[in-house]
Amino acid sequence: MRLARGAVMCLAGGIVAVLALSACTGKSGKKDSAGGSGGDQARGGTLYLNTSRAYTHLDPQRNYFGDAIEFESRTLARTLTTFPAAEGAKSTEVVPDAATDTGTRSADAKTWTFTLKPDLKWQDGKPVTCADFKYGISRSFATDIITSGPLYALDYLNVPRDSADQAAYNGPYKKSGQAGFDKSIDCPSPNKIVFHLRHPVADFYQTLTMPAFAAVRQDKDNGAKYDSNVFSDGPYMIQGKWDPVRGGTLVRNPNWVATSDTVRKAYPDKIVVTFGETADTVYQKLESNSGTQKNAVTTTVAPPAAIPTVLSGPMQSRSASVTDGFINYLSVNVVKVPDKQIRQAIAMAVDRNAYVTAWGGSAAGAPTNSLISPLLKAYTKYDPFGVGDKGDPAKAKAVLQAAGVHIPYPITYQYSKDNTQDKAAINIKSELEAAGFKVTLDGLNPDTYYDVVANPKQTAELTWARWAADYPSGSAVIPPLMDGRINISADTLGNDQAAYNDPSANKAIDAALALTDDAAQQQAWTALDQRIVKEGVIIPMMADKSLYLYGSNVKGYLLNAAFGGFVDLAVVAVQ
Amino acid sequence: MLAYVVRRCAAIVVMLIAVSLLTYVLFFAIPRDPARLTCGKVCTPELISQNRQALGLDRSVAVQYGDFLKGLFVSRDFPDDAELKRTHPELITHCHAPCLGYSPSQQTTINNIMGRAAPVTLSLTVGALVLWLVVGVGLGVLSAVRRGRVLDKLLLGVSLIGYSFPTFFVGLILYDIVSVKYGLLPEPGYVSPGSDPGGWFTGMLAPWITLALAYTALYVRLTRAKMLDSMSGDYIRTARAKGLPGHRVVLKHGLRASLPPIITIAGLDIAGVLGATAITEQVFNLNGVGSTVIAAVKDADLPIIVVGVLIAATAVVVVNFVVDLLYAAIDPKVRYT
Repeated sequence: MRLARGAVMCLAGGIVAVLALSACTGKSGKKDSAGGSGGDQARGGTLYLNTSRAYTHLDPQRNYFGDAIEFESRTLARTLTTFPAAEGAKSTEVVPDAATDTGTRSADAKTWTFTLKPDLKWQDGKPVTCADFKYGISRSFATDIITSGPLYALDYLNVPRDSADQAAYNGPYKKSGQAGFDKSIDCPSPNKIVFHLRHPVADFYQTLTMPAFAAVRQDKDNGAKYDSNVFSDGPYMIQGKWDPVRGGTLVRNPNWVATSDTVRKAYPDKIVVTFGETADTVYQKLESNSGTQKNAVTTTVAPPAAIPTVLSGPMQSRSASVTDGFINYLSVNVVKVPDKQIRQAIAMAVDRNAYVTAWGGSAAGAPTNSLISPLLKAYTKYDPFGVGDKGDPAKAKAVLQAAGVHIPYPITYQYSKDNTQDKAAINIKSELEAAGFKVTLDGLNPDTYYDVVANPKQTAELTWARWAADYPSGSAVIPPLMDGRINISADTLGNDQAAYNDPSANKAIDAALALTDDAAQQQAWTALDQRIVKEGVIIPMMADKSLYLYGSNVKGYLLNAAFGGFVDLAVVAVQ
Repeated sequence: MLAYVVRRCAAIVVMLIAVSLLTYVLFFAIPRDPARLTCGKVCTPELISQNRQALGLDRSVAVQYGDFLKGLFVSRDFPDDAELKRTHPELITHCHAPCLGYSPSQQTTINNIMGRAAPVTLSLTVGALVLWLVVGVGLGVLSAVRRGRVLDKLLLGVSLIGYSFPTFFVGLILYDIVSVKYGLLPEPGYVSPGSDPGGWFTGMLAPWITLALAYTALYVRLTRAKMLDSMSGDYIRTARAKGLPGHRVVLKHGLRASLPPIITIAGLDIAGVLGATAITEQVFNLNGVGSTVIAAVKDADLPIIVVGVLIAATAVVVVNFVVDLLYAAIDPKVRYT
């Protein structure tokens, strides 16, 4: 599941707005993680997918947005493993896709072996082989051409390192270091694939769900231009050319073999994707439920204006909401606020219930005290300061006084400015001021928000952020957010807005990553999560929910939490 | 006259250079790193610096601007990577002169992007112009002829209301209520007039109305005022006295005398309307120049922004220039030396 900060940065406006849009005064979404109508779906018809924000990339190795990942995984690109079309946390239980099982690992979790299913075919009928997966994955290393993608392959595969400890391979185009890369993925036979990793990766079978690990046919690859003409091994293929700005049309891939695929039902004959309409227009059209809109779905969250309508009356039966895997949280910069007690006082003072209300109440999310989503195994309910969701400014004030600082203690809170966040920020200000702080609110332009708060010279004591894991593991939350070594340099904090670079925490991260037992590793992430929260470095606020509307002909509607809560095209039907 | 034209053309070129240079300088002053946008959510400092280099952003603003200017006269290759050209020439995008640059976010040349976007904006602008001139001037004439009567008052009142509504509001009403909810207007969208003239016309109707509404209202009032002025002239009385039919008096003598100032103002409005097309394009999801540039601002895509700004600036200065020349043609008192 995904959609995150790099992504958010690209269009801070977009995603942040999506958030803001959840702000409503409504009641809770009627069906949490809506199930489909089940059973009576048939093949045929055209499904219309109208989405406000264009997919940044459709090239599998560059695809790093939740909605685009879900779309591509379900239609054009098969991965060795994937998420099942299931409700809630069940969707995070990884299943085999192009592979016959979720892999055989060595005891040290450094060697992973997969066997490809028979009948895996490209859209021209040629078989999908180990070489195609290997070539696809090699593209991630060409970071100057295949930009914006996840870097897991560069980090995990046992490719020789250069003096700066970077992978000494620059991809299949320039081929410098090709021999080193070739040793990291073995193809003992066309249908067998063996990964050699540089360190244990207990949850590697989960990493492989990302399209970044999908196959690409070398003779169809045209580098940066591949976004427009992705060659498919999934149930659909692009008709003509894909327009990155407007969208495009998918038709059936005649060479996809249904029996080779246990996840995708591929009911519609055709999927027409349109980008660019505003969220209000997308919902106006869906509400009208006329013409093609009867067969329409969207990955744009219901905007505030549409929420009361969607949640009431006849439209309620065409709506669904889901816990989408995102966590809304605050970071306390440890360089600017080195005193743990002051940070803890901030964490104790904030009222999560008020925060959720500002975002739109239970339709928008639920209070949380964990940086890890409730959908993941590493999540446990936690109340670090015994103040509940409501917070306790009086207790916070006592802690602040004990820190021996001058009261009121001045801090600035930076957030991505919109109406919802303004409301939430005013609450936070009054709660913190009741606890002895003097708060300056600094609402920043959403388009440049993450650039400003990642800049060590511009970032404030307290900053807002939002994150969802790439795949359902604490490994996709704690290291990318809290490992200062991979995030912090002279001119950026990366994703680590708290500037947290604690040697003992980093050691614990390394130890967790080295664990070969998946369950033990998730426990290690839980412990780290709780440690960071207890130290007042991260103040988790809300586990987000998304609300959607769909057309009346749509059957089997399912929101897949593992992909970020977007509609699951594997099982949606229009007949 | 010729010396004047040459002087003005030179001034236009200098002004466009200044505008594009200013855009470059301002772009690099914003607190945003385009190189950061090229890597995913876990972006290492090494990767950012590598991509900064790949995008050519590590070089000075002057050098980057020099490359842009050079591209106007000689072709460029993207990425300009000698090794890649040798090993994988098929991955290189070749951009023939005049090359306007390459968009890292859309991975194609600006020539391609603007080649797709310009016809949309042109259709929108020209269609709206025709609509507001025909309807605005027509109703203005009618209003003047019926001066003081109910129709005149009604037209003046309605035009005032029309003029008061902002474009985005009219657009949203037309789109969400008239087109989507009640289906009274066809679904807006752009198709090439060459391939489907009917679809082009019906698809552009709502955007045209949106864009033209405020201008129409203005032209009703403008035409009415000019008509009332010209219709009180002695030559009109003479024409009537000579027994010319009413419509000939109005159209041939009254309107003709009113047209030059209207045409002058229309010329200036064409340049000004480019700003309004961006809003109309956004509302109706038309991928014209305006919405392309707005998206580019969000993506920190400098090459698109520069060319978008240049298109807008060129439209303004060229149309101003043409209008100045027209003055000389229309008004014998004006002579340029």
